[in-house]
Amino acid sequence: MSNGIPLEQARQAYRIDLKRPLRPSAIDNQKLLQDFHPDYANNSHAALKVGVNCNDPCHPQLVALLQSNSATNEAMLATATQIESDVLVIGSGGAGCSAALIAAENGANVLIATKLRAGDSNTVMAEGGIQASIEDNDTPQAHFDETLKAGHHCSDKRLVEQMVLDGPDVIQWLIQQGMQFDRDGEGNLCTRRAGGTSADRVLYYHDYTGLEMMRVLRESVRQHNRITTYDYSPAVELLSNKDGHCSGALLYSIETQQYTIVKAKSVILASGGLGRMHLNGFPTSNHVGATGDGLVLAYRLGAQLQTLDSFQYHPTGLAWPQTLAGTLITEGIRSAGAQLVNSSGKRFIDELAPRDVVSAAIMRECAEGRGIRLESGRQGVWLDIPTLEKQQPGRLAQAFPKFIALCNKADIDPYRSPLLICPTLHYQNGGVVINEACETTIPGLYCAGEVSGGIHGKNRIMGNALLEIISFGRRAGAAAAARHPPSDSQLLLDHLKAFRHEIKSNHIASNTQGPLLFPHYASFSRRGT
Amino acid sequence: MTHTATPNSSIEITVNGTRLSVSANHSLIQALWKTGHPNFKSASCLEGVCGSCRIMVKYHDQPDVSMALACQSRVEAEMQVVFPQYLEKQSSTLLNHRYQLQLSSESEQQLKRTFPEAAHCRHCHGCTVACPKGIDVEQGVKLANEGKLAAAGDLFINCVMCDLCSTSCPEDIAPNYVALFARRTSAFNQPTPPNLANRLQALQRGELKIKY
Repeated sequence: MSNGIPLEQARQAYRIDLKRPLRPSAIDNQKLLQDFHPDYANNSHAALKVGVNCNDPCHPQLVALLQSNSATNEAMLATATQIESDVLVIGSGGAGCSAALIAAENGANVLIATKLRAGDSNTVMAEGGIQASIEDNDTPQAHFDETLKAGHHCSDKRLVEQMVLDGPDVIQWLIQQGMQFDRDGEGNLCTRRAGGTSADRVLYYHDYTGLEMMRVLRESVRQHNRITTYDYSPAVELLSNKDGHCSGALLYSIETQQYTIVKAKSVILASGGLGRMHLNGFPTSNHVGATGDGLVLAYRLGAQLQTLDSFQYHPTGLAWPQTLAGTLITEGIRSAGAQLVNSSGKRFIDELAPRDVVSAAIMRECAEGRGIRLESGRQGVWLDIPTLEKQQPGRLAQAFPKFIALCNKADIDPYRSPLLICPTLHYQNGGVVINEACETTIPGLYCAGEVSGGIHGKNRIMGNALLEIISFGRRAGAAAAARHPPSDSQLLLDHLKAFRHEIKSNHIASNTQGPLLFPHYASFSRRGT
Repeated sequence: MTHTATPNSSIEITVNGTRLSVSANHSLIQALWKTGHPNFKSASCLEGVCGSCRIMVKYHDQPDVSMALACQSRVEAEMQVVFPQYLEKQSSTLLNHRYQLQLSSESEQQLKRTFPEAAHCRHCHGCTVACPKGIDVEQGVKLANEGKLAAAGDLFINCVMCDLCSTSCPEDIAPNYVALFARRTSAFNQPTPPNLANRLQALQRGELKIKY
């Protein structure tokens, strides 16, 4: 690992340059990923020892979590209050809210259990936008092909087909919920291009697309008389009937430290991702609650998972100031024309290549001495905002208010100084296996959103996450509401006993307790555990 | 650049009445984490868009209390901070409004029916002062009362629904919800975007199949 140039020196050397040439790469993208992407590093490979995915490749930190100890015991169940709902939705981001709304519209009583305040999620932070093929020079087929290609052809094609065909209707539904989108003078929805794609297909509302979506969905949910929301009530275990089907969940109140059993004919996991596990020590763009809880709960119940060794490191996380390390700078800014520049003022990658390729290219610059070094030893490269401003004066302030607020908080004048960025852990590409109706391999358990896998293969493109959460959230809600109640609705921990037995017989001694619920630095502990 | 304090230097602050010694040069949330101070309920996105970490804060060199988001606030020596509780949703009269989005010819009447208290605004500026995002909240209520829903809603582009304006209103107006009504009604009433409409029709005609 070479040292790079110290920050202050690089800052002095920086110049606005309207004609930066792009250095041709001596190695192809596959080699770039092999050599520099964190997924391909030696410390990213392990295999699961227990459960339905036994022997499957998995990130070692995720192995430790999936094979962690459960704090749940019979006494907690015996003393818990029991309530009942037709459908239980775990999580209140975009997937959870859309699932709840559609389930309720289909006549089900819905209970949403969420770890933080309703709507606290990665959705609310989404900036780039939402994909939907709506322009004349674009087709759902192109959307399909490019999603597969960016994901290295590891996606479930049926899921991707369904999602891209849902796209325009998802947008229509969001507008009917009262969501605003940026429009041009003729009332058309504005579109911009995502990295790794050939057409303008990302719809957006400033750089507040997720905030606007969440404001609207949360209000629809709040007003619906068949939906009840339990704030600050994470699910800490799923419960099963005698046949091993999902029959409910155990919730833990962060406010009262009490347990509640929810009995439900269908449970929808919409609990998001795991950025706050800081895989390989990376900073993250994720919200505080993104600790992979859903994967742990589903795996103990026997649900099959997939693609557990693939994560998205978003190319442009803020690297300096240190206190804001990992904070996302939207791809929308590169889509608008901002370039990536190394310590000698050169471009080194097509800024709109797929995200994994751009991240690997940044890691390469840093590894080969062309990065910019912080006192901590961490390195990054420039996101060249001043040159963008020179090319398109006023564009940033008008289109990216969230970005400008970030610069204010960081005490950076983006019009004069470039931003130091490095990749930040952003997204879990894999997750729980689902079919087109969001059914998992466990009857009664449904998944939607980031917790599920199969859509993005091994790399996601900008805007497909917001599309996924609504497309699959709505379908999960409809399927969960339509489920015929099982004859046996006992609420047991038999699956947990079996899982513990398997852990024990494999001589796995874990010192991790799952689900994590919060990152370690939040110093959280559950009563009685 | 103002990041001059060394990361290890320690300063004294007061949070919810408790004196704490925290590391300088952090956001309030980061500093609290470092002390092991539990604040699980009041932090989520850390990017200033979820509203969960709202605070009332008084800096030692300023006479007045101001509202802010803890994730967006750097710790300063002798700052006094309170994390106010959120309103209990079920019991609150503030948050019991219900409406179905309707065509714009109805929307002014609907606003009056749904938020009758909005007309009682006494122009005390409490809501505007309370907004940690610097929104002219009171003006938004005024515009909404005048039936200028689009203009009212546009003032709230940066709103993170922290509810501080609702909490501060002596007339029990919930300005951020009035504004959200205005925003949603405006979106609902815009003509269907031509590019979206064309694509929806083509999909309905079955012209756009996926081959693989």
